[in-house]
Amino acid sequence: MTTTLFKNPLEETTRGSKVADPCILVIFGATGDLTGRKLLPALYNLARDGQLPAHFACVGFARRDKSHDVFRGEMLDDVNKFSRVKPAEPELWGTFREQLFYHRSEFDDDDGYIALNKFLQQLDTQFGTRGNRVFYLSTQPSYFPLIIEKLKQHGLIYDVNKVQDKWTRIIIEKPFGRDLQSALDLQKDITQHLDESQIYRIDHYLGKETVQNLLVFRFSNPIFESVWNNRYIDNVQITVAEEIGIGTRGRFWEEAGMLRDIVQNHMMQLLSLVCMEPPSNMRGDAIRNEKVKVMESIRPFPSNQIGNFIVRGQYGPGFIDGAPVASYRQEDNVDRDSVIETYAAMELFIDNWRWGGVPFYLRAGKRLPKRATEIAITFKDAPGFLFQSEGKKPAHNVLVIRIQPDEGISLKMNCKVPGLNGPIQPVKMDFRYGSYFGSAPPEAYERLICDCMSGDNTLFARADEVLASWRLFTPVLDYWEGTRPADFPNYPSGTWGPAEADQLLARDGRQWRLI
Amino acid sequence: MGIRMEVPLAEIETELSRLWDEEKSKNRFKACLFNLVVYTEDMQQEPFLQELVNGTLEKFPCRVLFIQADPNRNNDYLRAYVSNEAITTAFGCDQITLEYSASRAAAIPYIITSHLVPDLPVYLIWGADPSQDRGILNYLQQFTNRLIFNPGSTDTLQKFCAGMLARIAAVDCEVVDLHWGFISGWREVLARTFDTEERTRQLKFSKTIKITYNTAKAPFFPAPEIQATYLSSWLAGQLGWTFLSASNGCFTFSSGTHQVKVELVPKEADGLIPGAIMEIEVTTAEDHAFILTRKQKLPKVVVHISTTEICELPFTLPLKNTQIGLGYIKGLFYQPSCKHYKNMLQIASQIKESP
Repeated sequence: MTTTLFKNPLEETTRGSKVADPCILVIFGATGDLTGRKLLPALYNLARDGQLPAHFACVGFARRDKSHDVFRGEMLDDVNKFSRVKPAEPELWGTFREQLFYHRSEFDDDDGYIALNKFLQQLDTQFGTRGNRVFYLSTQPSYFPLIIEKLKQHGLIYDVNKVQDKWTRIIIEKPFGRDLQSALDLQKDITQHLDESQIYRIDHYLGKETVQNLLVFRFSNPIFESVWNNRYIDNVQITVAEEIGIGTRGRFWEEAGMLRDIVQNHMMQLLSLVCMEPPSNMRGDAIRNEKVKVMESIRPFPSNQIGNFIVRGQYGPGFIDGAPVASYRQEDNVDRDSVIETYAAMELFIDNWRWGGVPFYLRAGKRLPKRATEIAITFKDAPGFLFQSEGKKPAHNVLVIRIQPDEGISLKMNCKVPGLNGPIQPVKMDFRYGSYFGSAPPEAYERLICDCMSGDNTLFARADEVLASWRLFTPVLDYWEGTRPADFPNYPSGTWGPAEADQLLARDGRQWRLI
Repeated sequence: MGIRMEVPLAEIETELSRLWDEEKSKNRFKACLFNLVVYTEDMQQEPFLQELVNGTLEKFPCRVLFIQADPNRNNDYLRAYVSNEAITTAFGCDQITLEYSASRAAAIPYIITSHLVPDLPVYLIWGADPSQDRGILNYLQQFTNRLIFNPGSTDTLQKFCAGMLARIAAVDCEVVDLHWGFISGWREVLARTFDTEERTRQLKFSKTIKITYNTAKAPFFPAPEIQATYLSSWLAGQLGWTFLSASNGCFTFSSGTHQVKVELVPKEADGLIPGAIMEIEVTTAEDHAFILTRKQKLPKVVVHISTTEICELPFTLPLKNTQIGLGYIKGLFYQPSCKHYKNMLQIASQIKESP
């Protein structure tokens, strides 16, 4: 006999905000960077906005020895530093901190999991969280199989086919594997113990307001959807630029590189949202189905010509905001002869009816002149020869979706300069989130954690999306592994990347946008 | 005028956003048609350049990046200032000023490009000698839609013109210069005066041409003869003359059949920009005289035409763009550079005073 979940008759479904179920959030790796910088501030802001369930608790799970109070104190410091609204309001924090706890254990310690289970049951009684669990694995991916196995072994993960009055969800952070085989292995390991519906692969880009606005922009404005195809679009450029270097993440970066850290996941998410067909409805799987179709339509890089379509780079010494900065190889925990890329640029094609023939130029890099993530859609020239001057046509129309910073959308178009025989000059129509909507929107992690607690997996990556992306990029990684770059570092910090990246477009008569 | 504040380089955009947030309550908003980058190495040029910028902002709001370089290698500094210039009560523009010493030059191109407003044209006014560029100009020109130079920045006009020809051949963007705009009015006056085949023939085969110009100097106009030289070279380029020699401000051209002497006559005049052309006197082979005189400081030219037999009634033509006004600025930023300019440069690059 199946038991249906209780539906509260007093709950207004038209209230316009998601209702998260009562639950306990357990953060594995709670003493790590992500917890302090993102997760706890996100929870605090959810509490501040009244978006946390009334019945909620959070447990930090890590190896270091500390008390609940010490953990709470550290989290307060982090909220005061990293929250989008700071400092923490004393009264609010006073209540919120009472929902924070710390559990010390090694990830492979069975006693630790037994104690955790017991503790969570106590918290269920204390906070009314009904046995619902979110386990956030903010750890190295190599620990995922172990932790999940232990959780299952100790009854902390419920079988969806057998238990229906409470739920378990696991949030795992990227990278989902290092390549196709490891991603397949990871998927096999975790699905031994979990149903796909319980797995929430977080890609925080999907939680950004501007990324979500992509679907609204595309599918609620027919004026744009009607030209969103190869008849009107000349090329698409997607840029993820950071001015910062790798910081203290040398060890991680030496294992990852730009392709694994940014391109394979964040950029592919942006690409699939730009390119997807309208879904049949706005539910999670309908959207994710369309995204997967995009991933599967991307033309694989020709194995004997990978270097013609994808360029890698590594930053050398240079200047950022006028201050000298060191090269990648001089960063801490980086091999002095490292061949890890901090920059990648590529030309992709999507072989489907909508996008056939349109080049997609993607670039991502560290130590570029400024921080900027944007999608720029350049439209084709107007047909014919009207308004040409000295053989030059007016500027292309360009629609730019700025993901960060200065979130918004702009459209570049041509206008006549007033006066007799006035020339034509490009102007911009500009929408800025900050100007229109005032207060800062929720941070990505706030939305994603809230969605997970609500059981909405729309903004989380599905296994087939992830694997399709690895299928595309694993040959590139293999090629790079087998071909040592002779010219690293090949771009100074503070510049827009290696010259080869410019040539990628120059050969097509195009150039990278100045951002 | 907005308040100028020194800010850390990393805070430039944040500070500008903050300044504009404060303006919201006054219902003033930011406008921007293009990016205007102004580069100079000479503090004394600043008043002229600021006048040019202010004149531009009145009609064409833009983001201004004012780059003040100090070539003195003993100094070491890099400072940034921001302000939101009020143009009217309704709108204003961003202005970013960078002051730096030569020791910090390597970082500058990347700072500049990261503060350009994307998707809008970039116009670069280069107030220094382009042949002395330490890499900044060469880097920036790939992002620029229009390069604007000052011929007064180079040792000799001949060297400047030769450099300009090379640059025009090398870059994809428009290349113009500040002084060419100042003589556009006189070019139009000459075109309207010599507006028939007969008159153009007379001009082509004239004996002498005297161009009187204002000999006053100013920091941005160290060589007041530039405009007059440009005008002579333009005439030569359009009429098919070839340059023969130059001596003591007198140029000799060949029209194919005989020589044309063009004499530059310096004269002091108040109230006109240095180098402003005040009069042009053409004596043709038939001894017809065409005297085009600027009416004192007014933007008008009175044209007297006389032959050996008769004296025609004088007529007046408007003289445009003799100072930094709407017409001049519009021409500077929007007029496509034309073949006339290139032809003029070809001739001017040959003009070298004989020792």
